[in-house]
Amino acid sequence: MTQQLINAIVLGSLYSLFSLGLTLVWGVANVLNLAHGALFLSGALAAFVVAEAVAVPFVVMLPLVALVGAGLAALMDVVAFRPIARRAATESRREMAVLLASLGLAAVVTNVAEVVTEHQIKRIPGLLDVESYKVAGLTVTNVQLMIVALGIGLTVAVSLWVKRSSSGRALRAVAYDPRIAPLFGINSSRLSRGTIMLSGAVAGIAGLLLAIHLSGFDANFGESLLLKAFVAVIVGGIGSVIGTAVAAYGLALIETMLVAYGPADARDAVAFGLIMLVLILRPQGLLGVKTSERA
Amino acid sequence: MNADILELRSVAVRYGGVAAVDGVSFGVPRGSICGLVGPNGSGKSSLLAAISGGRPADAGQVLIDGVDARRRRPWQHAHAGLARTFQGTRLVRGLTVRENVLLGAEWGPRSHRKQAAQRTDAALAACRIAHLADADPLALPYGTQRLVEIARAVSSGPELLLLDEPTAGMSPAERQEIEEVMIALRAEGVSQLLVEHHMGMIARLCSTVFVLSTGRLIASGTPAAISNDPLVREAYLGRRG
Amino acid sequence: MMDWFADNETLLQQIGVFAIAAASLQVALRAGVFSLVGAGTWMIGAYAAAIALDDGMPPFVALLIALALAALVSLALSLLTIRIDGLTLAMATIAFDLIVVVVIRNWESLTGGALGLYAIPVSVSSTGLAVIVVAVAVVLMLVERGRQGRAVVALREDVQAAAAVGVPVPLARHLVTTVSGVLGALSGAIYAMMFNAIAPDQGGFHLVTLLLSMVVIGGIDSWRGAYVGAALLMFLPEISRTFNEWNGLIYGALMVLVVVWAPEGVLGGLRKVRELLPRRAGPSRAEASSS
Repeated sequence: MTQQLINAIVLGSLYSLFSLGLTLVWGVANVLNLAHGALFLSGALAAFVVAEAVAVPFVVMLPLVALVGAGLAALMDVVAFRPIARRAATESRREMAVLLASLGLAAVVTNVAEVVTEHQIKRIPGLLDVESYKVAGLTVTNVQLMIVALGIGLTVAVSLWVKRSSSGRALRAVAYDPRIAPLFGINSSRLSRGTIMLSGAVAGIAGLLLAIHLSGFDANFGESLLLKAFVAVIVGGIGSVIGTAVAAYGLALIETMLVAYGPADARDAVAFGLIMLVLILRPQGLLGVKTSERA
Repeated sequence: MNADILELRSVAVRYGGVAAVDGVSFGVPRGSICGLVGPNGSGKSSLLAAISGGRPADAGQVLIDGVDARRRRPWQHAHAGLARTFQGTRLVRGLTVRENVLLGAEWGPRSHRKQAAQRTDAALAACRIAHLADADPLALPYGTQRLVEIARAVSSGPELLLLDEPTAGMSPAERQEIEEVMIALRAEGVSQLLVEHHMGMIARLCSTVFVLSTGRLIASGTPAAISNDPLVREAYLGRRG
Repeated sequence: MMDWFADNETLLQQIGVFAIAAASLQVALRAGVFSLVGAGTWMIGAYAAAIALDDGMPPFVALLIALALAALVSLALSLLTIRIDGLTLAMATIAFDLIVVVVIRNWESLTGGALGLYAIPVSVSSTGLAVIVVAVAVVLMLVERGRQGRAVVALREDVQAAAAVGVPVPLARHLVTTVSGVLGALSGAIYAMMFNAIAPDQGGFHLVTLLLSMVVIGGIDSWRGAYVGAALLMFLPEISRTFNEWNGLIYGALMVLVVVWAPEGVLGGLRKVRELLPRRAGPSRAEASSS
């Protein structure tokens, strides 16, 4: 039972990392990026490609995939999100266009991943030797420890940054009402570009970690996780780092219980059911910053 | 038939803990043009939204033709003979000027829908924009857009017309046009509530003026009486010393 | 000419079926209702029709059952989601679509589970499909005109203005969503009754993405966009056979290109080209999407 708890915490940390970027970008830049899964995938993919060619220590790989994730996210912004924002006549058209473009971007990245991985599950070679420790009768691996550490650490760090730093405050101001941003001298386009890049970096790291945790990844890696991320973001509140994290861990806990006691699909149904329930009853989520639009 | 086509009794509009409108009561006599003025932030737009159903009042009564209409939604108001214009024009993109105006006639009071086409043409003529019927409303100058919106409100054949700062940013000539349209409407028996900052226009058109400040009604009376009222001056110019 | 039709019959049938499915999404999006319920009712319609046929009902009755069920479900969903719109509504309806697939996959006694249903009696001919496709087009064309057409444009462009002039906004939303759901079920039911097999994998995220891209690429403004988009996207795999491996990339890049550079879709782009051509002078013509 406690072993299950450990699994839940590890899973929760992964969900949390993955959802972190999504909640920020959605809450701040009002970009519903369905290609977030692709950013996640790019971390694993980049690590795979590099590791196949060159032996790189884990300590170097981590920032590397963060860079790849950030870079890819920036590319998405430059190629799609920014031009759309410039041209869209109304906010709702922009939202829809961004959603659709992100679907296209996801398809592109996934296709590349399919070709590179030859439609197979691939391992990232020789990064980390998995070591198990026995602590108080429980088995914990170094990978798991690292995931939890990074998960909690990054979540706390980003949360503090959003709450305390001036750019973090700027972020919340823009999320609350984009129109007031120029009044405070906030360059909201630079802010959203930065936020998107940050989300990409964190997603990339999350992708690498999960690939190590599962001892492999494939091209469809990001898609199923994307749904979980949405649950976490919507339930926890779009734009709320802590809310999303709490929801992520909660979801992981529920899922871990269900795996032991129920069919695999039930987990998915729980996720989707939660999304619908929350959206219908309390669209702003538990701790959400965004309230639902329009009268 | 009531003497007042619109009567507000202790209307309140609250956002969270803040009252944008706090216990406002007044009456608009049938067939008249009344003015609603006040400094920015005094609650004029919230009050208008409460009357027209866009953001219903939280307390009090909104009587239209003697019937409590506080809970009516905007389309119900439209069907009952109320029309309004908005502060930033809300013209529908993708429809021509004529189609925009036609919307008002064909979705307004049911008894008027059969003559929607004629009403539309009449409204276009009354606002002197018949020659722009096929134009793209968003490509027109701002003042003309305002006229299109007024035409749309008029084409439904309303009994009560709410105008939210219709002449903001207009030239005197454009303002003059709108004043003439409003006078013509009054002659046809349309009651109007005009929210405006331009005092000259208020003085020329309105039989009664209501003054709002921080959500409360601080004065009401003829334009002359209002302009001499020390409370009104204070509200606009701020306290001295 | 007739040979070409015969050789490509399956392709044309698929285009016909998915044109209706794309139209189901288009109907909602055009009215500014970001509801993707059509992808969910597609599955409901397919399975309802298949199960009804299996129970011995005549095809017409099976179809009616599928449509009625879809209407009920879409209306219920619309009532539940009346307070949300935009991206939140999109998410909620996508979640609904995915739940439908999960329920179907797990209700093995009724739906055959993950394997789906086979050997559904073929009950719709190509001619029948053609008639339905044309009928749907006619109905949509009529709806896009006149008073309702204008109201829909207003609903999409400025809900507050629409409400103020007298368009009953919630009722309109429910109506639009229900029609969208029914069209989705119509497409799914025909699919099941034509290609005689249905499985849960055909639905879900993949279907939503496919239908959305059809509408986006063809153009949101009218039913023609849905039909054109369906035709284009069904043809694409044929053309890109050589690049089979890169299908996803091509299709994804196309999506991004269209969305960024030609947001009104292919039809919108064509319309812009037509307007650029020299014509006789007159007052500027509005970009009316309906008259």
